[in-house]
Amino acid sequence: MEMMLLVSALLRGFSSLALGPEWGAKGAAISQLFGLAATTIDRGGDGAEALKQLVADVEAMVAAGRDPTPEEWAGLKTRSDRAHAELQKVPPSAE
Amino acid sequence: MKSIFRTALVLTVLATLGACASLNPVSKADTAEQKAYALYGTFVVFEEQAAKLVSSSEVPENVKQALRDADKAAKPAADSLLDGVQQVLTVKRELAAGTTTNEKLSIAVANLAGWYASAKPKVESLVSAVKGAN
Repeated sequence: MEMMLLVSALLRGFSSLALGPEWGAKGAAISQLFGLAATTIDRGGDGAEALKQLVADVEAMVAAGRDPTPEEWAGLKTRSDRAHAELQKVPPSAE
Repeated sequence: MKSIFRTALVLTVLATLGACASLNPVSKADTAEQKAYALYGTFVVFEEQAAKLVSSSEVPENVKQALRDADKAAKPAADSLLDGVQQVLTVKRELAAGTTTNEKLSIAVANLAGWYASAKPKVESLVSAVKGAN
């Protein structure tokens, strides 16, 4: 994951450099491409980190020979309800 | 020159998705409850990713709507897993108190497996929608 962060930071650096006056209009397009690539990595990185944590949690349960507790279920349900509310929120412009 | 940047962009996207694809929590689980937890947890992770995407100005409106639709379809099925889990937990408590039988627990666990099977394709649809939008 550290490698992803490094690549993302490098892409954002290139994105800023390409905006210099010597790059002209092409520089703006190149900057946009680097920026988009960095954003994609950041988003994927968040998800990959959360999935990694979930894998670790499940592996720990298997190793301990136990099933998830009511508290662990409740934690996931709270996160899901929060994300669902955020997702289904209609933006003011669409109302 | 442009094609080099495009290739770099495609490679970074593929590398990111590849990193996500290699992480499969369900494959690590043993019991019906662990599998249900891994599937519900996967649903939550991708639902959170979808929520981030719909709040981004870079994502087109039609993609945002596809994410909302996939979540709307998956959420009731995913939450039904929790009903199945609740049944299992209740029967386990009754079993510990000596007021029910192992047979009842087997039935509750089989029901949970049924909820799991019906939720899985809907969760996978949300996962595909989020990966497609990324």
